Amino acid sequence: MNPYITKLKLELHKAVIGQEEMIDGLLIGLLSEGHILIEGVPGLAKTTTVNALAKALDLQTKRIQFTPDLLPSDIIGVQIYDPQSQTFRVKKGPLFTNLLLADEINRAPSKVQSALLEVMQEQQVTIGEETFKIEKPFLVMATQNPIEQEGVYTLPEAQLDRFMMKIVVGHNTADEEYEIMKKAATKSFGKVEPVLSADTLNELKDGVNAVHIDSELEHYIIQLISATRDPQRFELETIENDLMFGASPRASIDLYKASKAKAFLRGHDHVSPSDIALVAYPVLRHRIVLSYEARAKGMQADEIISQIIKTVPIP
Amino acid sequence: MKNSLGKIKWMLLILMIWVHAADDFTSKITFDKPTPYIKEPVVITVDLTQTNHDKIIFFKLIPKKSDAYELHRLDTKESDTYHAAKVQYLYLLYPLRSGEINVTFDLIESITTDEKLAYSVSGDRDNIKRLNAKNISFTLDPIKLQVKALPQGTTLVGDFQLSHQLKNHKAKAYEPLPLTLTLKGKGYTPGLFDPIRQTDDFILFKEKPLIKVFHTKEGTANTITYPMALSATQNFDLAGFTIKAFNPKSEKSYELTFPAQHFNIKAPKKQDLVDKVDLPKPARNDFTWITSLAAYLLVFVAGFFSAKIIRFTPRAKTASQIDVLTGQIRDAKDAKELLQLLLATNDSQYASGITILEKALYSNDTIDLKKIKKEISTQLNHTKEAK
Repeated sequence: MNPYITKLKLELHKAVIGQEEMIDGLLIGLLSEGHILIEGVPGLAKTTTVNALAKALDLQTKRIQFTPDLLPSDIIGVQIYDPQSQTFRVKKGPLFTNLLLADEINRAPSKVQSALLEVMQEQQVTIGEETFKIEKPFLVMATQNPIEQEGVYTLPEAQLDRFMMKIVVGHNTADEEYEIMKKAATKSFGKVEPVLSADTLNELKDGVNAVHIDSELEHYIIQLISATRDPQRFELETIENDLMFGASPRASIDLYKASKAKAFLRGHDHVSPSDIALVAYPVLRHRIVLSYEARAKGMQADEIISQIIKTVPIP
Repeated sequence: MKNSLGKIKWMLLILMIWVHAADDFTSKITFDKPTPYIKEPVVITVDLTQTNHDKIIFFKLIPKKSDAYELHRLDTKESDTYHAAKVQYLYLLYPLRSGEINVTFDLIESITTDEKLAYSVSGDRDNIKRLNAKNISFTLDPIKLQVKALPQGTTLVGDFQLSHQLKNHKAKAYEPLPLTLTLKGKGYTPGLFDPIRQTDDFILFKEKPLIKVFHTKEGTANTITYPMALSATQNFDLAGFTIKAFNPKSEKSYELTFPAQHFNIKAPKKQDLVDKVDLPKPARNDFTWITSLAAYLLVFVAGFFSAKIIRFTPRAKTASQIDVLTGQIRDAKDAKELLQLLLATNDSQYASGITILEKALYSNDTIDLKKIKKEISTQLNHTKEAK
């Protein structure tokens, strides 16, 4: 594994016990410039992990706590009249940063979510008649509570598609929870220090870009995505009625980038089918829209993805 | 010759009253009829002209209210010139009782200066500045009118016509017969009345009368419409009525008449009123409620048990999925198929198996497929037991 990645992971583990999948997901997003959505019930260190990553990186970080009464201008900024100069000046919002922690993103209604669409895709913000470019790297790391919980809204499909991965966080193992309990009781969680500069991050990104991917695996990615849209072509008649919409072209791009980053994190210089399969779940699960029948049966998007991986032949 | 003298005499009767007030202005009141009938229109013109041009003067004319007459302002013409104010008020007056009546006007003269006026107009919507002026009140000399009484029994004064619209005189029982009465003409606006009164022979439906009134120099133009409908079960007669009117211009009385009407009502035949089929059907021998009850009970029981079945389904499903996976692993023909199965589990416990299989497939390492299958099956059995 890359020494910088090892160093970064060690720093993160000062504040977070376990949750390897979440940490790997965040690092994949960081290395391949993709926005990450983390979903889990309260108390699973979602915010702590994103905060720790923000501290470990020598980048500008801002946090927005999403609430039902939040307004788009609270996020993107607003034009304020200056009586002295008799002109309007722009007060930039917290979006103008490198790493944006959008905490409990689905507690704000859709008009606020829409304000994020432009910046997430085009990395620019329009306030009044003026458009501002956001400095790179720009990354949204959002946390959300499951939709079944009180006081949460469903994120629009257009916004979900702009997230590279959706990581579902589960509970820690019993051993990990014991360690968390002891550390919390003795207040012995370490202080996270910045260990990765912007230059080093760029070097790591170059490393990800250098990871080789065979053309047959590139076609394998396309076939996986195609199977979500046209399951019948891949003899997946069993899931045909369970799917309402398949994944978008953004999914192909993100699966390609994420599998390279996954291979890099695993210390490989080339992408293997397992790299693709492992990231296929977080890349696709929020982009597949299940039919009413599937939801009535209690199916999850992961089951569909599992069927697709099982059926689409690996190279 | 006699007629010419009459015209001259009439013209002389048009009076002109001049009032000179405090050297600042003159007032002139003109009216066209000194001896009108009750409710005959009289046009009154009041002209106010500023004579002292050193001041800025505004006028406000207020007619005094009285039971003896009714007054309507028709127009006001005002010159915009400061220091030379000129205002003309035009009124339409209707005397309401006979004998001598006095029509009186109060006048307020507001005197101000250029500076005070400039200050008052310097404000804006949110900062209104009051005009500072000196107000002087006058009462103009009253106009005296000798009002003549109307002929006995007169209800309307003016030139009116009464018309009615009645589409047909035949209808079925309870079918409405629309009837519209319209009173139209120039003269004093008559009060509302009930032109048709309900009797035992028919039912009367009435809407609120529509009234259109315009005051002009020639008098008041009136259009009053009474929309109604009649409904009955048998033939009936509608009584007519007469309104006695008087035209002051021609000084002649006349009558407005609504003629009596006869209506033929066709009663329905008894056999048409009776239903040919008995509805609802008799309740006896109707046991459909038993089938409905049975259906409700069946749905309830099915719902109850399906909820119970779902409650116990997940464990069974998990166990069967593991069994299916074990079978699929056992039946896997080669390393590639086995790798695909393990990747589809999305379970980190098979990571080592996946790595070995990938090395065998893509780095040409040799493996014992049976041994790997056995190891994975053992892991699956442990998982099944744990669950």
